[in-house]
Amino acid sequence: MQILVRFHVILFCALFITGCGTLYMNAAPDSDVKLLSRNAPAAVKVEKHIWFKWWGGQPLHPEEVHAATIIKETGLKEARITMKNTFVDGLYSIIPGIFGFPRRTLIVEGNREVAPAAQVRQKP
Amino acid sequence: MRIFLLILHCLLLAGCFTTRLEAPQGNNKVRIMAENERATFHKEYKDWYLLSGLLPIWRTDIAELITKERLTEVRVQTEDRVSDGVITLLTEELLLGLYPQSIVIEGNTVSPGSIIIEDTTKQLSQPQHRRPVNQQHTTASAMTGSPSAGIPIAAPLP
Repeated sequence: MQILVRFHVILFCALFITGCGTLYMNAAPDSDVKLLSRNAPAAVKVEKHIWFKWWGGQPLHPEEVHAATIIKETGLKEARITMKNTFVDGLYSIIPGIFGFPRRTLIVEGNREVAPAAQVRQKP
Repeated sequence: MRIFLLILHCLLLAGCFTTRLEAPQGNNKVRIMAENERATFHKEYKDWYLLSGLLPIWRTDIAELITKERLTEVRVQTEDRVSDGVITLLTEELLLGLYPQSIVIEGNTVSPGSIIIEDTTKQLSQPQHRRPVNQQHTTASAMTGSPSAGIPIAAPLP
């Protein structure tokens, strides 16, 4: 019986650790950012860890949940975006997660200029 | 020892998962949309993982979806909802560790006119209502959200 209670306590904790949270893979307003394919070379790579509060209900820094912020900061003209919940995020989330601070990772890769090959293809 | 096991267990329960927004191979024309832009295409998907994210059983291939739906503009939202957490909690009891993740894909599709622009050899064989239109019409169609708005009433022949 005691084991069952402990098991349920752990599961309940897990629900908090898993947390919620929304990430936006978008670009800045009035920008023309092209989407890169998986194998396309990318000169810039930015990896950002996003922290949430209230078990993912709100981000600690609202602008950080938008990939647009990174794209604008780095001046990318083409990009691909990845959202990850990594092993390290899980590790970091163990203690803060219980208190409502889960973590996610946002990765933006891209180029500040459109690749020459891509420019040629765009011509009619 | 107990604390170590508890931490290890919690770590496994936290799970791992990945969502990628990338273009299909050979297609470099897809544009990433801003948050405030209007999207005519809106669909929600769920990715499913087993064993703390080690085993993806269903993952949405966004690049494939872009091709399938002929999206020219796209933006994606990844959401970890309370309902996803509840599913995880319930399946952990069965030692499955089922991890769902919600993905919202929004975008704008290609209007019929702009498809013809890409292949000029097919233009002459197309019926009259699918004559080529310029890019401005295509954009206007996407912005207004009306599928017919991009087709001009009397487009000039090439």
